[in-house]
Amino acid sequence: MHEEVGSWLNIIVQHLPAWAAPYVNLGVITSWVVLGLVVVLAWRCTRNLKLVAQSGWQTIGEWAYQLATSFCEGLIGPGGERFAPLIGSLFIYILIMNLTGLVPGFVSPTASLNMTLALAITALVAVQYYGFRERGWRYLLHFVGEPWWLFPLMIPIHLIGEVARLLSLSIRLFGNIFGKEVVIGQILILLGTLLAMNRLSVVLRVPAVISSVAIGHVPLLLLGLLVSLIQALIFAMLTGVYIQGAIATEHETG
Amino acid sequence: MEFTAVLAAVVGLAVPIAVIAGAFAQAKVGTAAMEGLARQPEAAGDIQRGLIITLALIESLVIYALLTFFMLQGHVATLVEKLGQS
Repeated sequence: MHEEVGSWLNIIVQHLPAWAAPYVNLGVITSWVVLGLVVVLAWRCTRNLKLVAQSGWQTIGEWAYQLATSFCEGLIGPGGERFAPLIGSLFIYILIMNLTGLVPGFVSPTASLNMTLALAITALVAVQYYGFRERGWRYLLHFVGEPWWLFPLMIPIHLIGEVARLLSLSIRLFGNIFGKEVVIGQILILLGTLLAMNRLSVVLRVPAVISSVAIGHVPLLLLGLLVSLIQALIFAMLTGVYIQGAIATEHETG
Repeated sequence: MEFTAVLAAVVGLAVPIAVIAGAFAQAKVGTAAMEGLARQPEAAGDIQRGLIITLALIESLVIYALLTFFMLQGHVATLVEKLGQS
C-alpha cells in the first residue's frame, strides 16, 4: 500500500499537494474510485423509476434491494429490513473493494488495516446507535449481565468484548485480503522461478513469465473471487448478528 | 545468532501449527453441518448461515497466525542484515 506498489493510480499519488500527502495514499484513492463507481451504479439503477420495471438497470436495483432485505429479515428477524441499507451498502462496498485487487494494476483498499479498521468502527458505532435507539437506556443493562450482582466482573468483560469485536472484524478482513494478494504474488514468483529452471517453458516456446501467469494466475484469481465474496458476506453477516444482539430484548445477548 | 535461528524456525512453524488446528476445527464444523443437512434438508439456509459464521471465526484465528508470520518475517530479515553488518 505504498507508492512503490505498481498501480495505475500511482500518478495521482505522486502529484499530490504537500499538505495532503501524509493523509492520502494509494488505498484511499482506490477506495474513492470504488465509492464513485458505487454512486454511479446506484444513480443509474434508481433513475427513471417506474412502477413496473421496464429497464434492465431498474431490475438489477430491485433485485439487489430485494436480496438485501430478505437477507436482513432472515438474519435479524421481523423488522430486520430496516437495516438492509446499512448492511447491503457495507456488503456492496466491501465486495467491490475486494474485487478491485484482482484487476491487474490495482490494489485492494481493504488490504490495508486503516481501511478495514474504519469500516469496522463504522459498523460497530452503528450497532451501539441502533441498540440505544431500539431499547433506550435499557440497552446499558446488557453490559451488566445475567446475575446483576456480578456486575463488577461482567461490565469490564463486556467492554473488552466490544473492543475484541472491533479487532476481530477489522483484522479478519485485512488478513484475508492482504494474505490473498501476497499469496498470489508469491506463487506467481515461485512458478516463474520453477518454470525458468526446468525445460517446460523451452518446450512450450513461451517465456517463463507468460506461462507462469497462464498456469498460476487463473486458478489464483478464482480463489481470490471466492475469498473476496466470502469475506464481504462475513463482514455484512457479522454486522447483522451484532445488530440483532444489540436490539434483542433478551438479557443473555452478549 | 542462536536467537535468529530459533526465531526463523519458530516463524516457519507457527503457521503450519495454526493451520493444522484450524483444519481439525473446520473439519468438525463441516461434519456436523453436513450431518444436520442430510437429516433436515429443509433447514439448509439456517445451517449454511451458521456454518459460514463459524468457519469465519475459526479462519480468523489462523489469519492471526499468518499476520504474525508476516510481521516476524520482516523482523528476521532485518535481524540477519544487522548481524551480517556487525
